[in-house]
Amino acid sequence: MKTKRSGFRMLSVNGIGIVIIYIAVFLLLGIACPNFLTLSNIMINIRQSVFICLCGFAMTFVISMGGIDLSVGSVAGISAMLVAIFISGGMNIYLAILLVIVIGGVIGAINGLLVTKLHIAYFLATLGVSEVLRGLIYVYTKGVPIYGLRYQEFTWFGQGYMGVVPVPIIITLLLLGLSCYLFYKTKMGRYAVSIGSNEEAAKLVGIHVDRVKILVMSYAGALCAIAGIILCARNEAAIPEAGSSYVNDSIAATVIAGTSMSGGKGNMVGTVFGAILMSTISSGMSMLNISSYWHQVVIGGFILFAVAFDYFATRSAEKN
Amino acid sequence: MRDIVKSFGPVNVLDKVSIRLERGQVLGLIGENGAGKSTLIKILCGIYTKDAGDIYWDGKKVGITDAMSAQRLGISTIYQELSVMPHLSAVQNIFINRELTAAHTGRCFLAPLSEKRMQEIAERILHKELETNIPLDKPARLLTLAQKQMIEIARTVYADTQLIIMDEPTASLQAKEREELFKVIRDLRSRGKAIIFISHHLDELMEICDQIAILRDGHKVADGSVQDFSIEKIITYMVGRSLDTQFVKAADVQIGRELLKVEHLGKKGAFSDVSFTLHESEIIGIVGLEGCGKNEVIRSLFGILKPDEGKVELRGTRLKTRDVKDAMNHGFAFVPSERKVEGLFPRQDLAWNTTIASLDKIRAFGSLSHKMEMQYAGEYMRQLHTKAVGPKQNINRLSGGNQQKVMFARWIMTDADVFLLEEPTRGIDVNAKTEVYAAIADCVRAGKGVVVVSSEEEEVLGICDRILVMRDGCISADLKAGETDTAEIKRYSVKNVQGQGETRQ
Repeated sequence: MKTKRSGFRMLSVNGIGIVIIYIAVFLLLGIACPNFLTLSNIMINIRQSVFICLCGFAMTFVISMGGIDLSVGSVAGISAMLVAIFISGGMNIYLAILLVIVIGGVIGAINGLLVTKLHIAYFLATLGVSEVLRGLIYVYTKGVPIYGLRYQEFTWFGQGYMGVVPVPIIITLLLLGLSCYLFYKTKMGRYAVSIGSNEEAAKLVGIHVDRVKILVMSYAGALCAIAGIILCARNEAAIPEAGSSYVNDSIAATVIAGTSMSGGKGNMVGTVFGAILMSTISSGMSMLNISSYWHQVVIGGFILFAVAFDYFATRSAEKN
Repeated sequence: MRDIVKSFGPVNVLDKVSIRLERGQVLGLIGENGAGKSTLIKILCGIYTKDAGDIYWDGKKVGITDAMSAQRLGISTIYQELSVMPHLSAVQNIFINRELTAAHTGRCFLAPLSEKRMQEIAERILHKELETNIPLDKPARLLTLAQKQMIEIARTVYADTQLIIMDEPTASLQAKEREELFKVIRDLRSRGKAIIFISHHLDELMEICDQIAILRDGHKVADGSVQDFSIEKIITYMVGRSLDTQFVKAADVQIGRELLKVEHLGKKGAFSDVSFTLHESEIIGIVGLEGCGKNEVIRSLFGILKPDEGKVELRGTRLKTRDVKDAMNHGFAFVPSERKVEGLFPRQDLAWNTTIASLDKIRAFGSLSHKMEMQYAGEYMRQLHTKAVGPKQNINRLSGGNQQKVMFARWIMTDADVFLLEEPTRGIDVNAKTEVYAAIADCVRAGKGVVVVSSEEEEVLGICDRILVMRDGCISADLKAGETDTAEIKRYSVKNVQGQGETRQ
């Protein structure tokens, strides 16, 4: 009993659990399926996970603050559409990208304003915004993808390489660095987590709670916009339903990484592993010829497992 | 109840307390905060279990093991925080969990409810028996506090409760509403119900009770018929003779220059015309009953509430405080009474909780420095003798006293000049209290000014230089700590209950 408990406690150290799970899944799939451990396959898995990574960084930030952002997928989707419209309309590619990131930030800020000024719960505010955005996409595109974005400078963001490393991965790593810096090393991150931990206490140490919330939501929006831009660059097209699976997947990646749904505790780096874990499971199952319908079942199971694990780990840590 | 013993850990909260109550009687339970009143009633209604002693009901020994068994005996409690469901109507609230179903369907969970019968019974109880005019269909959240209280009483009437416990039922009632409540209580008494009535307002107790029992530090120090007591006598029993020697005071310090000047500060519905001057190295205590406005005064100084009138000067400069951050920039520090609710960040460690109000101090090259954070936290741990494994220990694992020291460290780190403390020793044990007093004394030695809001007269007598007594939102006395005693403070805080005009939450 004693050893079991202390074992749990070690696993409750932020992030260790997810790494162990990842390695276990990785090795299992590697044994089951010889092609799995090839470098190119690993690269493909990581590449597929960048979108969930970026939305996951946003989600980790917001969930640690005690909120949730259900608009990540729609923000990515509308960003993909907007960048396609701007570029096919002849706008300078870099200006278009910058503009779309700013728009993503503004949408995030609107989320934040709904939450702070109108006192709408995160869940409802971001759900509403998400529906509006997705609706606007279909209104504009009439459900037809926007094709013809064969501009090399643009597709480079989704398909290019720097040396041997794909550009999307470099961007994701840079944004991981930025997110970690903001989350762990600035007042913004410290305040956000404090709000998630105890909002009343946060007010009483002089934190401008509303401002922090709006700022964090807006950063989250910008991250999702970048995910949308990369997606558009990789597909050379803006697809109306793009990004619709990101909400569930990024919540899953965040929770598996040990970020607490009730706020006050987040793990930015772990989210990367959470995201890669999910794309690894998907591709591993494909290689084992398991129907893709089963992927959802497995990922759902992982979420439940992760949450239960988090509950027991925290509880045993609190007991000691 | 006979020889009830209850202890939490090593502390005996109740030590062989016996009370006796007969049908058709109102018993006033009197005691300071922490005397054991709430513990006693919680045992009676099954929330706590007793460690020793027996409870007799109608002469028979009974075991009250949980809330249900107390209910079955016929004991109900009406708490200060009313348990009326805000969205349900009066009728629904009265019958909550006792809903009537159509006669032939029995008590099946899915049986159709008999709305009409419930309506009739509710009308009979509320309008005829209790003589109220509470609308039956309005959601309870639209009713006044007094009306909600009546709904709770109606609930006990319907359940045919024999013993009703009322915990400070008058705390937030207007004078007229209180009269109506007393009328209902007298009516219930005449119908043979027994009532335990808890209040800090001694003259109310004198008015409504037949019997009183006085608790102090977990002992029953006196009981008997109310005619045998005067307010003075009750106060003497409540306070006792043994003033503790646990208080620490920085005796070697001279009171310095003027620091904070508050003039005619007022906030509608909370307090009015509050003026005082705080000097460097001075401790002012503000005391008064629950709801007298004392907490609101210091919360206004800290920018949590916005006063409507008056002015505040710090070292001769008039302050405009828009929010908490402003107040902090002016040099105010605030330690709230509800540490867990308003003070601590429960998922975070000691260092985080220490440094959160002064993150600029641990910044190096634009980012927060983990090393400096640990240094500061460690330094304050040593300075305040905080007992913890280290700065990285989770704050929840510290004892109440050590948590409070972290709260002090947080504000010492901001270099605040004026410390506003709300109930600084609530919920911490006696030894830790002494250490908190020592921390306050350290602040005073460093030339800070301290305002302590406390509901424990002995505490402010022990540590303060001056004491302001508040009643009904006004300062009723400004006393020098050396020249007064608890009895005088009590007199100034309870006198003239009739003057209570406004509803306060």
